[in-house]
Amino acid sequence: MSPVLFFAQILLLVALGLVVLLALATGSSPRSGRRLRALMEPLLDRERYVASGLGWSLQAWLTLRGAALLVGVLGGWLVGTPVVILGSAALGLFAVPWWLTARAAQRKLEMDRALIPFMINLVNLLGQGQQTLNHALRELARNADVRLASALEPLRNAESISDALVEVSRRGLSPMLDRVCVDLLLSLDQTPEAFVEQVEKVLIPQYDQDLELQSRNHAALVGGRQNGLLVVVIMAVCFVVVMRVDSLRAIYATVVGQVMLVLDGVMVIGVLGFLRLMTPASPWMRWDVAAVREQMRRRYA
Amino acid sequence: MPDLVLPVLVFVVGLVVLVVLWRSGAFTPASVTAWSRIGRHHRLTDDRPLEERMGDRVPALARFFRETSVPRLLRIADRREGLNAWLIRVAIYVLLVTVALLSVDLVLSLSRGSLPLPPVACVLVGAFFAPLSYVALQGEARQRQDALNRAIAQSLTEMAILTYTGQYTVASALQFVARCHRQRLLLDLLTTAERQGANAEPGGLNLGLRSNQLLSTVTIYERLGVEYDVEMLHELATNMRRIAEKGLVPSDVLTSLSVATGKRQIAQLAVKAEQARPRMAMAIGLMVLPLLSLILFPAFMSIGTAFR
Repeated sequence: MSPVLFFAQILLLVALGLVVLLALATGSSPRSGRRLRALMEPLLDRERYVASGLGWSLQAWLTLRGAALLVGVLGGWLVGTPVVILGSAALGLFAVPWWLTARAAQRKLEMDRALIPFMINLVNLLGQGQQTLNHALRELARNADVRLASALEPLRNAESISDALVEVSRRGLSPMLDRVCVDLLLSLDQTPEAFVEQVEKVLIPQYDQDLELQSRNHAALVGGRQNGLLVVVIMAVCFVVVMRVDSLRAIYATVVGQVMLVLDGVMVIGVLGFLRLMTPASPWMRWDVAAVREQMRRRYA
Repeated sequence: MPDLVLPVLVFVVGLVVLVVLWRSGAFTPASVTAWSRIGRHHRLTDDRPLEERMGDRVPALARFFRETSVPRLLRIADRREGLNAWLIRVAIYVLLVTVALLSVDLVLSLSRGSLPLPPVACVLVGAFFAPLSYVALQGEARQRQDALNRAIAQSLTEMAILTYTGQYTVASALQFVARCHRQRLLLDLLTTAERQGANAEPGGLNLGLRSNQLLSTVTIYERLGVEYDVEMLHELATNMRRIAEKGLVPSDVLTSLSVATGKRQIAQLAVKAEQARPRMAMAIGLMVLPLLSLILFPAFMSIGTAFR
């Protein structure tokens, strides 16, 4: 037997054995399934966040993303070269969401800003001493600020305020709105006087802080985005300038030239990724508002 | 140049044999061994592991051992596996990568007739996965610590609401909010601590509890905070102690703590933003690479063609 073949057989056997060992060592399927779900959940959350920020449903947003990718691929296909197909597909996949995500984040921040006047109005209504918290919430939802109107819609004619608050948080998908819903759920069974005191002493200062944090996060994100835009624009201008010269375009039309273009694209994406990594952000803890409702119900059960 | 492989090999083997003999007590005088046996019997000797004894003398070393301890990182990262399982897993990864690289090397050698890379290089690249796994574990542990800190810091206001009417104690309010988080890290931690308090599990948290020992919630939180390096838990426990000892109003204390934590978070973000500026500039500077590549590649190709 050839020694090379013998060596290959040994390597194959060792690799198979290691794969089996790895499968045994990494544990049972439920844990790996949970890990997969844990990996997928932030991605899905992000898509839901952008969709709700734009005021669209998740299906509409995902359809738009799919359509943008398709248009990119088709555009590239019409031009013909593989690099252009890849570039257009990447453009469709990343550029359209990138542009729209900024708009969604801005709208979310505006919605969060409207939450503090909402709470102040709530305190004012309760301060008159003629309404309960439930009634005041319904009334405010009927005459809500434009920025909050869509999120507060479930409160307008709600039978159960706690169910409506869970729905509000599901529609709004903002950490600050989640927090407001949780605080309202926790305060539902308190007297109006106690609630007013709490809001003035505890909640409004806390929301002010949260808003400042959100604003700083947003400012950092916008800064990073502008830097990224700068990188892309400079590269695009250079690309157009190079491609307008016949001799240079001829070099890039070769196989090696195409490979180099792909490498340049990868480097640009790397720089954008690095910029994103460098952008400071303060992450938020997410509340499970439905769990709060259940806990509150169980409290009296 | 003479071949040094054999002498180095002999030297290394000799060194290993010497260390083994030293550790097994071959060089220790019989009287010392006898005294050690008597001392151990009467509990007069220090039987703790070497690193603990060294840590007592050099605090910086103790801190280093604590920070880099794999079992501790595994506990913080909430990995169910023990040190041995982790080591076996890392060893399998290393071997798998090495075998994959050797296979590629072999396939390439079939067309060329000689190995493009020496097998030692493949082994070295494979071995690189061991420190990589350790760094990944450290990152995972740090992420969980941050998530726990965040979970407590951003729930203080809600705890203040719950304790406002006096229906909840701080500990029960913490349990309540932990059940309402989407990520159940805090709840997992508290449940583990409770279980540990109920029956001291072997290989569990190092809370230093006896099987029937009853501890106050504050002490358990303090120990958890130290064990997991969760700063907020430690801070909360300190405030709980103040509430208990000085009769302060829990909701007021929690509100103040929440305000202080929020201010600290804003200050940290401002510092991070300032620190990020030069890094951002560096990232934009990196853009020179694709730009140069785009412009210079045709020039290199033309020069190459001209010389050909």
